[in-house]
Amino acid sequence: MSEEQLGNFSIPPLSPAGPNVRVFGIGGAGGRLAAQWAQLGRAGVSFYALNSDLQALRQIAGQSGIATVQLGVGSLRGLGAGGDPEMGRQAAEEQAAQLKSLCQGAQLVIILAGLGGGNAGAAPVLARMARAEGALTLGVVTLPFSCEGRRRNRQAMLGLRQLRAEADAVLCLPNERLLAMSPQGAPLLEILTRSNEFVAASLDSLARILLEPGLVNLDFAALSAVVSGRNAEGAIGTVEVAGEDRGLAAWEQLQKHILLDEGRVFADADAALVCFVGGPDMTMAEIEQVMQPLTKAAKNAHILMGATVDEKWRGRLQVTVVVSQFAESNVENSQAVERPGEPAPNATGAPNEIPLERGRFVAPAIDAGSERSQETLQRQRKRGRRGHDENQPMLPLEMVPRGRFEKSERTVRDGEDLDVPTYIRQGIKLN
Amino acid sequence: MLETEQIIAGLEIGTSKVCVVVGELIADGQVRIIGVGQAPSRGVRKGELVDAAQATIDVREAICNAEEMANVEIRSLYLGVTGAHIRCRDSRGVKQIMSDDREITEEDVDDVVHNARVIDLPADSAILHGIRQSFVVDDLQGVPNPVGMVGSRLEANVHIIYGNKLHLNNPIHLVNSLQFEIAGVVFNGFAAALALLSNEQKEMGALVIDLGGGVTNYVAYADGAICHSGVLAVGGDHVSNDLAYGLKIPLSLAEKLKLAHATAIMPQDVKGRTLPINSDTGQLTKTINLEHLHRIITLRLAEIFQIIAQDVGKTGLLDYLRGGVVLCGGGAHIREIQRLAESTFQLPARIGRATGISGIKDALDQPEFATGIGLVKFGSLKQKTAKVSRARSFIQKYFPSLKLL
Repeated sequence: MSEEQLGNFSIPPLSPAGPNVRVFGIGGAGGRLAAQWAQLGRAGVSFYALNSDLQALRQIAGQSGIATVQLGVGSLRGLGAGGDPEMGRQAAEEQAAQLKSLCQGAQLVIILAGLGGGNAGAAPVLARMARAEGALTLGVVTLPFSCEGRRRNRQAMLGLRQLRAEADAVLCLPNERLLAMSPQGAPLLEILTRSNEFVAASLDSLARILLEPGLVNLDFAALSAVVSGRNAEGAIGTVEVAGEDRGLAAWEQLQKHILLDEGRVFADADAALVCFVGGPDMTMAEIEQVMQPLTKAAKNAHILMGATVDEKWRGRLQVTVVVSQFAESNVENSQAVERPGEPAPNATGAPNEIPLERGRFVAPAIDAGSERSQETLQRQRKRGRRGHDENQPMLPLEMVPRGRFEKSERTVRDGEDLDVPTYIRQGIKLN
Repeated sequence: MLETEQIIAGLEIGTSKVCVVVGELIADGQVRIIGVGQAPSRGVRKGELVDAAQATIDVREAICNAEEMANVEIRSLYLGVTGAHIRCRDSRGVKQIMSDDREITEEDVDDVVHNARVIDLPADSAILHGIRQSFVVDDLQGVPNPVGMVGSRLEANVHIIYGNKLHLNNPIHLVNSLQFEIAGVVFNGFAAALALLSNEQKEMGALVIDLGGGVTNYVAYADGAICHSGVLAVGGDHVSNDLAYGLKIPLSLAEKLKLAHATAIMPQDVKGRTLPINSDTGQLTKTINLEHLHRIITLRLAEIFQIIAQDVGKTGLLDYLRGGVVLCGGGAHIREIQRLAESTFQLPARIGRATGISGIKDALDQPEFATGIGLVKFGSLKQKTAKVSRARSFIQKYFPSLKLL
C-alpha cells in the first residue's frame, strides 16, 4: 500500500449511508463462512458469495443479506473449477472488471477462502482488484486438513503465497487447529459449523471495532497500522467472558485460544490491536488485567488499544486481539514443518513463480512437457533444500564422558575444572 | 553405666573404602580400639553418595566385619562426613556477665558459644561443629577456659564447620535406614586431626592433610585450637583417572599402576624407560612410558598440595604451623609424599600415627584408619563431657549450694 493510500485512511470517510466493509466468500468454504457471518447481520457490512459452482451458490442464494456472484460464467458454465486453482484464477480474470466494480468504494475488503480448492484461485485476483480500488484488503483463509492429501496442501500453500503477495494482510487459520476445538467424534457438519461460527464471531468483532464508535476509538487507520504492509501475517482471536474477575479470565482464555496458537503468537508479534467491548460497568482494572500480561508477552509489539461500551454487554466482556508480524514465518509454521518440501513464503517472488534455491540445479530437457519440467524443477528444489534446511534440528547437548566422576559434581576451583588431568590444564605435552 | 555406652563405633563412608572402627572406653577416660571393619566402597564419588543402594550393601558389610572382629554389637555410630560442600568460617559470640559476683560460669560459656553459632550461612546449610578456639574476658585475650574468672564481658571465638543440609542428609539417611542410631556427625578432617595430633602438637600448630580416595580434607591447628579446615574434592581417584586418560588405559589398570608405581616426586632414572603390560595369558598388550606415568602423577599431587597451601596461606597461618604437616589417608602411602609436602609447605612433614589411643597396633599405624579412629576418639570425648555434665546437673539438682568448677 502506498503512502498516499494510507493517508486516505487516517481520516476515515465514514458514510452512514453506504456500507464500506465488504466481505467476499470465495468457493464453498468461503461462501459458507460468509453466510454464517451474514447471519450475525452487522450494519455497514455487505456480504458476497463467489463461486463457480452454481449448485453451491444456490444453497446460499436463499439467505438474506448475502449476494451471490457466479464465477466463470462463460468458461466453466456453472460446473465448478474442478479443484484446480488455475481454473479459478482464469475465471476470475475473465470477470476482473465485475470484481473491481464490486470493490468500488469499499474501505475494507475481507476475502474469505478455503485454500486448496479450485475457486480459491480467484482470491488473489480479487485481492488485486480490491487494492486497485484503494481498499484495505484482508485475506482470511483456512488451510486444508492434512488428510486431504499432498496435492491439495501444496495448492493451498501456493495460494497462500499468492494471496499474501496481493493482499495487505492474511490471517491464516489452519483447519487442523480448528478441529482441535471440537470434541473427539463430533459429526463433520457440527465441526464445520462450529469452526465457521468461531471464525465468524472473531471477524464480526473485528468489524465492530472498525464500524462502531468506541470509547477509546479504533478505526481503519489503526487496523492498517497493524495489518498493512505486504506479507504481513496475522492471527485474530476473540474471547467473551462473564461474571466475576472478567479481566483475569479473559487473559486466561486468550492464552488458550486456538487461533492465537495458544498465546504463542504474542511473543513474535510486531503489532497488536486489542479491543475491549463491555457494558457500562467495565472497569479500568479489567482492562489492566489483560493489557499488562499482554504487553509483557508481546514485548516487541506496537500495541493499539480500543474500548467500546455497549449497554447490551453489561456484566460481560469481549476481548478481540489482532496480532501481526511483518517478518516471514510462524503462523503457518506447523504446516510448513510437516511438508518440508513446500516452498518457503517468499516476499519478492512473483505469484506464479516457484523460487529456486541456488546451485544443484539442472534445467529440464527442452523437449519435456511443461508438466514434466515443473516436476523436475520441483524435485530439484526439494533436493537442494535438504542440503541447507533453515530448520536444522538442534543436536542434543553432547556430554564429554567423565570416567570415574560421571555421577559427581565437577570440582571447579577459580573457574578451573580440577577433574581434568593436571598435565592437560598446565599444557604439558607427553611424548 | 550401661554396657553399650562403653562401646564407641565410628563409620566413615569413604570413596574407596567403607571403614568402621570400634573402640571401648576403659578406665580414666582412655579408649582402646578393639575392632576394625572394612569393605570396598562402590557407591561414593568424591566423598559423597551417588549410589545409595550400593553404599548400603558396603556399609552393612563393613559393620558386620567390625562387629565380628570386636565381638560386640554396634547400636550407635559416629558418622564421618566429607564433601566439597563443607566449608568453615570463624565466628565470635558475645555475652555480658550480669550476675552479682561477675564470675563466669559454665552456663555463660555455653551461652556465648551458642551465640557464636548464630551466624548468617548460605541457605540449606547445617552447622557440623562449633569448636571453641579461645575466649576473651573483657580485654584479656586468648583465655583458654574462662570458667571461674571474673569479668563483665565474655567473648568466644568459635570455628564453625558447616555443610549443605541436603548433601549431609544422604549418609545420615543411609545409616538410619540400616537401623543404627547416629550418636554424632563429624567432619572427617576434624576426626583425623583428633586421632593424629597430641595436645602438644596442637599447641605448636599443625596441618593435617587426609589424602582420601575422592577428596582431600585438611585441618589446621594453631595455639591449641582448630583455626582452618577445608575439603578439596580431588583425591586418589583423580590420579587414577588422569593415568587412564593420559596413558589410554582402562581405569582398573590405572588403579593398579598407581598403587604399584606412584611416587610424589619425579624419579631421576625413568627417562626413556618403559613398562610392559601383560594380559592374563602373558601376552604383551601395551607398553607404558614410565616417564609419562610419573609425570602425570607428580603433577596432580603437586597441584593438590599447592591448592591447599594457597588456601591455608590466605589465612596467614602457615607461619604458625611449627608442628609441621601431618599426612594421613590412603594417599600417605605414596612414596616421597613427605618430601613433596615439605617442599610445598616449607614445613617438616610426617606420616600421622594415632596418639592417645591404644589397641590393635596394625590399625593405629595405618594412616588410612586415622579418620575412623578419630571418630571413636570424638565419641569418647563427647561421652566424657556428657558424663561430667550429667554428674554436674545431678549435683546441682540435689546440692544447689555447691559451686562447681
